[in-house]
Amino acid sequence: MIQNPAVSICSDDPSVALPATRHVEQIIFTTDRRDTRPVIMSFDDSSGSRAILTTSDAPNASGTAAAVAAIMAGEELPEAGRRTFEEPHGEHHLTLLVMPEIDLDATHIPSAALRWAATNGRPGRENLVLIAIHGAQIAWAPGRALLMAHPTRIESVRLALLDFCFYEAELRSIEDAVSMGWPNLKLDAPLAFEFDDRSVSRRSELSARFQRVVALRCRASQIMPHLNRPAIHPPTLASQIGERFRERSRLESRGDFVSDQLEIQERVYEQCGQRASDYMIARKENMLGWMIVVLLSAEIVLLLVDLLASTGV
Amino acid sequence: MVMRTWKAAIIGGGPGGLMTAYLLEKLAAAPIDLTLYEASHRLGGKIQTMSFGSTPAPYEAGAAEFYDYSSIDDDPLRLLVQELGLSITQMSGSAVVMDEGFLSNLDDVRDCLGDVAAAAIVAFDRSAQDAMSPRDFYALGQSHREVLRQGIDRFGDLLDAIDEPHAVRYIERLIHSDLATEPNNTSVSYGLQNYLMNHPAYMRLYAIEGGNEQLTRALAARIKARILLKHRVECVSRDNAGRLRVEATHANSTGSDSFDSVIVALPIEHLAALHFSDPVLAQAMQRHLDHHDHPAHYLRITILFDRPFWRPMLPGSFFMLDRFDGCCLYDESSRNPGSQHAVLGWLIGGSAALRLSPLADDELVRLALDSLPSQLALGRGQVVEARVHRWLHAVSALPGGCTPLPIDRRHQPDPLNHPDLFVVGDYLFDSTLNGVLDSAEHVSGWLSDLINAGPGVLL
Repeated sequence: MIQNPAVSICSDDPSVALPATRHVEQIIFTTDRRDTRPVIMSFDDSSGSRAILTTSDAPNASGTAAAVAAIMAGEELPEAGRRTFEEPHGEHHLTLLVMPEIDLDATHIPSAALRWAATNGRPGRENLVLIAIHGAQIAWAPGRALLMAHPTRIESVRLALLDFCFYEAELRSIEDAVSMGWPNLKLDAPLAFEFDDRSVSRRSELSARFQRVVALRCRASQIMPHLNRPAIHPPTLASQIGERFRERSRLESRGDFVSDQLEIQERVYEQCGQRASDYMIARKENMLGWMIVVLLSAEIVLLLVDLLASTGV
Repeated sequence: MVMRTWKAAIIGGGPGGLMTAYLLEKLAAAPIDLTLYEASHRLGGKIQTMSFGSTPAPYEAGAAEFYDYSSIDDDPLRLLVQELGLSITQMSGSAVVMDEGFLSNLDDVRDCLGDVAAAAIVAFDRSAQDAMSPRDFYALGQSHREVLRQGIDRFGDLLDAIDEPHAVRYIERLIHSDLATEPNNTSVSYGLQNYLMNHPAYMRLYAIEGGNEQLTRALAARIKARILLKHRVECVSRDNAGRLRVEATHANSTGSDSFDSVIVALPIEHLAALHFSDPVLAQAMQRHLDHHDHPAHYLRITILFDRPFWRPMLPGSFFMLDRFDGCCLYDESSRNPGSQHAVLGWLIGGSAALRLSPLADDELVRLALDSLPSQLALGRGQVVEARVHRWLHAVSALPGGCTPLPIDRRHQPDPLNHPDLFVVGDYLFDSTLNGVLDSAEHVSGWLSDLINAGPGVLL
């Protein structure tokens, strides 16, 4: 078991031990318990997320070698490597180039490789964070990272990086989901004040959005303790790297902002639900009222008929 | 009807005197006539920002940094800095250079000093945190309780209890320049306080952009007091009307003035040179000195280089070096974001500072350059200019004394016969700028209550 205070639970699976040569790793963060591929680390969240190594190629195989060469040249992964290192979609993932180096003072991450990490094939995603600290050099952008450190430190630094990547990706996905909710919120906000007969058909839609916001809020509240993690003392290299990444990517502030935004969305949908509920109750009461009126009217008519019949009119 | 005005004198134009004047003018609801005496040609005392002659590269010749307690509770100094509209720069550093190795974290400690030493350091750290929580740390200067360990009253004894010699050496080197004395000369509380200040949960460090002296300049610009530079106060006595009389020399002539209250805001060595004509007061001041005089020393060697050759290996605002019993090297240029200068400042403390201070400046600069580890040896050939500043007896090794007195008693040496004479100083709290503000706040609050409640004096 690898002991590292910066991460939650680490794998003792020998198949995930780091090779001593430069290699590329394809990692996904998933909650799927059926996935039997090697688990690098498990995260301390209620859904049981894990970092899983999906690379199927051996570190010294041609696919890996081609992928390393391509990244060092700043190119996209070659065809041979792409099959092995195809970047998955739909889940948080990370393509990580691991570079164990002995002479760290004389070696730097090539600028071409930095460009590769920065672009990530997505326009507008060129937000590379580069940290050089106490011999370790790490470049990270969402979905891609390069890690250069002494072979004796590289394992703990990799785990600290994965820990950061998971919570950053989780936060980013919540931020994206919150951003996508604003156009609907704009349309739905009037229903928080006035609900009429035409809006009745939108009740299930509003309920689904409210549930979605509550689910996002749950996810956000689960990761908040990890975003606001206190500094460890005395520090380890891994804890220093984790702290710097959290600081540089402003995880704490971003977590606060997303919580504020979710609170607004939750209040609007809560109010919409309240208005819809009030309206439906009022409508039922109204119907019952009319039914009583009709029944009383019928009773009066019958009484009148009965009265007229008894008087012989 | 004549407006009544309270007349007060402040002796000492350092941070304590300026803070007291600023706060007193702010808190007093009645008119106050303040006179501030300063023996030297400048205000600011131990806060001194200077520049080199060859290039306008600034550096701190005196107080290096401010402590930020705002993560625990209200931080009066941070609030004052904010109130004065000054910008700050956060300072950080975790590296200790020992035996040519750069120990920046626990992994490095394990590699260089071994697993047993690393475990001993972690164990000491845990016991230090158990002995003093962040809240205890925050309140330490205010209380007159001492952190006691069974059979241990000196910080040196606490270190002696650690079995691992490498761990002891590491801890000693880490905190030596902050203590400015040897572990056997200070209390467990003060030693622990100086160890725990490295923990971010306890406090953070910051400096003022443009130089720490911006603080005293801003204070001096805002006070209305009559400032008398180059006026050395020689004697405090009582006049026939029962008021305190201050005698000061200026350009070989002596003058005197009488006051309703006098606040002595002098470092303890200058306080010892002040004459009190009333034997009762002189005895009380001697008792005050005997209780608080535990001298600690600093020596600052600051060197301007061609380029910041240390930064690739030692990022951060400062790092510790195992030479001179443990000294701190400040990257002075990191205080001002965007600065192109390369200034490294050695802060040597304790007996090493006392031992080295008689040496000539050139010799001290040579010793400083020789102290650089071999990985940084190329810097020895890149010196542009160097300056040396000696701060002997400048702070207290045992602030508050062996058994800290109640706060009122600390500030009034003779409350019965001389309730109109107060003292202000960092040595009454924790030998820091935060401590001197605590002291100034206490006295100015006390005196302003008297001014606001009393009838004042007819001018």
